Amino acid sequence: MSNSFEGSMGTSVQTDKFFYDNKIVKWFAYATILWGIVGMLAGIVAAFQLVYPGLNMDMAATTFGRVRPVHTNAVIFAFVGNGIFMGVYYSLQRLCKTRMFSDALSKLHFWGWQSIIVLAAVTLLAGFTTGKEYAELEWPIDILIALIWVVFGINMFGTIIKRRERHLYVAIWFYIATFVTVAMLHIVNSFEIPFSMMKSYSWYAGVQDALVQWWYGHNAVAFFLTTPYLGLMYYFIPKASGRPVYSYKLSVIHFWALIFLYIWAGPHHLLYTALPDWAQSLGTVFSIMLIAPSWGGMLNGLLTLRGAWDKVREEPVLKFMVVAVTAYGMATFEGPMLSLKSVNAISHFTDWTIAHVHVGALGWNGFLTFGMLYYLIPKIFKTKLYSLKLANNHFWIGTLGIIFYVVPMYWAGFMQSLAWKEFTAEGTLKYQFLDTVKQMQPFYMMRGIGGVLFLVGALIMAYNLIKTMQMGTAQNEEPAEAAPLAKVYVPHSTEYWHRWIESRPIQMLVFSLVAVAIGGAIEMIPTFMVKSNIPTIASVKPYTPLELQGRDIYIREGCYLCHSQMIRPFRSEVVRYGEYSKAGEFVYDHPFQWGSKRTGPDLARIGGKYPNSWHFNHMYEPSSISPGTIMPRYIWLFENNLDTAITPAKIRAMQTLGVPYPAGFDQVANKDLIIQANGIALDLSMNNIKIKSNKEIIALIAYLQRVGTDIKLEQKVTATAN
Amino acid sequence: MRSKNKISIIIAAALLVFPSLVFAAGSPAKGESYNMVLISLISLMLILLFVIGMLANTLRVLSGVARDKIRKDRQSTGSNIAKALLLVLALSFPALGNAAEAITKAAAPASNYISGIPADDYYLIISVLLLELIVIFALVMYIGTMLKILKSKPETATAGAVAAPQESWFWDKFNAAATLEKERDILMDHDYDGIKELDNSLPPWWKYGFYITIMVACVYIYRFHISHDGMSSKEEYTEAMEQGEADKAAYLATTGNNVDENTVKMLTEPNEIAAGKELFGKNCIACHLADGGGVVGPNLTDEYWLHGGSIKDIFKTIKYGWQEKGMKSWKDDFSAKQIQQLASYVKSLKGTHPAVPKAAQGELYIEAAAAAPATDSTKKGSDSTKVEKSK
Repeated sequence: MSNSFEGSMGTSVQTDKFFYDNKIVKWFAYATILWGIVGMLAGIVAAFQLVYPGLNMDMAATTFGRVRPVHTNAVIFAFVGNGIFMGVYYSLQRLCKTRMFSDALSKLHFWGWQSIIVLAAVTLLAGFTTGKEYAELEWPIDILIALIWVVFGINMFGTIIKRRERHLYVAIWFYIATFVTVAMLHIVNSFEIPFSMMKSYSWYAGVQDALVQWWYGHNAVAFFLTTPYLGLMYYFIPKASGRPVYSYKLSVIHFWALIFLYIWAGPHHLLYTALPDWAQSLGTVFSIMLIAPSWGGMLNGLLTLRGAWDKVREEPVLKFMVVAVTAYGMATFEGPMLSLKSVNAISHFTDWTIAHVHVGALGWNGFLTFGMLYYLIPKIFKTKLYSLKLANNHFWIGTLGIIFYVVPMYWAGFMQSLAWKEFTAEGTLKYQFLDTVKQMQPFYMMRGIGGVLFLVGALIMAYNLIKTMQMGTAQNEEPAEAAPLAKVYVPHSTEYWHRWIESRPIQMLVFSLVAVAIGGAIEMIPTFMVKSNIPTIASVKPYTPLELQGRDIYIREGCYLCHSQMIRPFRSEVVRYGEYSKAGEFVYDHPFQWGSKRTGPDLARIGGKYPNSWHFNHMYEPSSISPGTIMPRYIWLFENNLDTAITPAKIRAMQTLGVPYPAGFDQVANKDLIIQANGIALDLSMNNIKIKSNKEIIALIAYLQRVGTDIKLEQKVTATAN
Repeated sequence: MRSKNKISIIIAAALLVFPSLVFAAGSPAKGESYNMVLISLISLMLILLFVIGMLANTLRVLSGVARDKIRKDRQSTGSNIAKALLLVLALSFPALGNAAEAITKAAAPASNYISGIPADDYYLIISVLLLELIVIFALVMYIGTMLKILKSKPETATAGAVAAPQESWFWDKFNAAATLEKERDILMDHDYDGIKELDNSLPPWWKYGFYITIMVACVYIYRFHISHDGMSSKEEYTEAMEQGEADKAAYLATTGNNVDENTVKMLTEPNEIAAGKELFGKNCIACHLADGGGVVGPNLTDEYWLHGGSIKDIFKTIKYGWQEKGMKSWKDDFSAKQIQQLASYVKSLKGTHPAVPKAAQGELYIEAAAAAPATDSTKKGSDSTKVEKSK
């Protein structure tokens, strides 16, 4: 009937004897556990910094704006990334009935990826960031990522090519789609122009940068956190439960529908922004259409467990996986709901989104990874799990951790958003922004506790697994045998049409690439080509050299992680912040800084709102200006001298990107910079503040005083003309 | 066990939609207040719904057991009860819909309010809650009966043995799945590392659900980009602003609270000054210090004023701000009455002795003598503020 059936029946068939490489799987498993704990720890530090801003210890490297990217990058690319490679290296060998293509490439892949992680952590803490969420790593690391990803691709495809199994199992379809799409996303979104060894500007500006970034950001979730894990689910759930996959047909339909539809949905991160309406609508409708394909994966996972629910009660591996798949189902239903404009108007910029992603990250990715580890480690070490009881404790503590994390965040996000929007009968805003921040404190506290619980669970797991390893011995080379692939294959007539492509990995790759390329292309090409999508505004001018330097400090300190620069066309926002943001305002913003979260107020119209001295005092000791604020101090900005040697290179890079500085401006830029800096220092001195004009804070103040003022200027001019 | 899990998934999903329901309701752009009572009632409604779900599930499992035990009767009680239950559940869903509608209405102005909720809607929500309680009561009764049936036949198995295949009849039908016994017939000749695949057909609800989302997508695009029945973001904005202005005007027309810079008078009652002081403490001390001595902003306790020291001038300064000097406009943060209180408080600071007074700035202003110049400066100021305002 099946291949293996043949193999065991017909003893006359000559079988190949070979070994599975378990060592590489083991290494990736160690890395997963280690980076998981590191990433969660960073998350906990960041979480408590929102309750106790003093936790930044007045040091740049330990401030929220730098810790938060370390947390997101660590859990996505280090924890889940290694989890993917662990699961893929384990399952792919067995699904293809062959050893990995090349041990050397496996090692290169492993060490390459770990060095990327270390470099990422170091550079992010040092303040090297592109300022684009989940793509913060700077250009040398971007190149390294691309190279190592290709190493992974070659190793994976080499393995698939030399397989002893005619057809590719559904898990491998997901691996292939993951590989091509992540490569595409990473390369397109990382287009940037370097101006120093470690710094670059995004190739795109403003609205276009936002579109590309969220096409990437959304699909990093889709193709790094979802499709590979669906593939892993398709391997580990049937293996751990001993049940057949519920429906092959469902696998086929939901796989293609999922990868085709997912890529379009990025603009739902930009609803009500300056992105053209048509693109926003595409984001919404494709998100709605994604419900069924996403749920197809959940159904196939859960229904595979039909008749095996008694095992779920006993077996921690399955328990974790059931909660993971359920969390996946909840998150993928909630996602489309959040893409509806009316819901998004409330949820966006609040902790609701944070809750939503953590249902996915803690529930789906976290729990599925834990399930895999509990399955793999005893298998590789040829022993039993050290303690079922500890695993069960981990399960309950972890589940409790998720609940403690997400429930307060849902509540807080919803509450804060409504408070932002509330008017009194007299037509004034009911709450100052700071009032709503103060209300968040108990919720942030509970969230932190939830995070701690989740980490405690992970530590219990680490202990349990280490004990398990000590009980057994690692079988680094696992003997296996399988019949070689027959040269000729005659498909039987009743086969499904889809079997054709399942025996052709290259076609699979090409078709997947086509499926995922369409959505992005249709959304991006018109946004780049059609002028009317981004109407230009005459009064919008490039930043002065000092402002540009200040903007780079703004990016370096990760201000965008708590402050948006995008006023949506709502009465409550226009009254609170000023005129809503227009597409034409951002044409010189490489990269855009719209942000995705308002832990602090929007800054799109901060320019000119307060005097220089206000900003000076506020950056030095925020609570002196806003008692009860959770913004940390930025005292190093008052000590560091501004690096003016780099100014000409920055100007030249901007000129390359089409920013209309006059020719030769790079040579005189610093003169301009010094004049502006002296002006600000003079103004401060008139307010009894003594500071040298060459400090970084001066540049930051210059930038903040510029943000959003170009359009004000224009309106003043027209108003006077009238 | 399995179906229990699925029910919890569905309930979880329902809970996730709940905020969207409330929102659909709230239309916060309109500035309707969010009301703790309302939110609590809705939460209670959902919790009760959850309880109903749990009880229903328990009952369903029990009925499965009971059905097996009294199968001889041929009158399959279990399935009947399950059907009845589904009916009840189906009935309670429209109720939920009603509730959502109720909140929607809550956003509209109504004359009669109970705990901040329009009376009609309040009663509607309460009746939904009552209905839910009745359903819960009925379910508990059913469960009691069911337990009695089970107990009356001591030879029947306990609920623990329910994990047998017959439990899944509903979900199997719902998903159009082959039963576990018939699974061999649809086992495909796929085998990957021991993983087999079944040839179950697509769950119909899933398939038709997918079709529906595709249709919704088409309708959405048609409404917003072809027929333009749906409002664009900018149209929504214009409408919200007009509505906001209209609401404000309507409110101000009914109260005597619409003082402006031309009609404002100094308040002297202690409670008004105290109100001003409280506002000052919350909003102004960052720049002017708690004692008004000034730091970023000017000293407010001396007799020198940058923009005029009359009550009208100060009112205007607070209301429109002096953007270029760092004084923001507070007209969207405070009501006219509040600005009046603030201005009066500020004036009352004159002659107090702050700890670290900032040096005097601006022109000397003396109350009696300045009556005429004050009007002048008001005029001059209002020209420049017009420019600001006209955006």
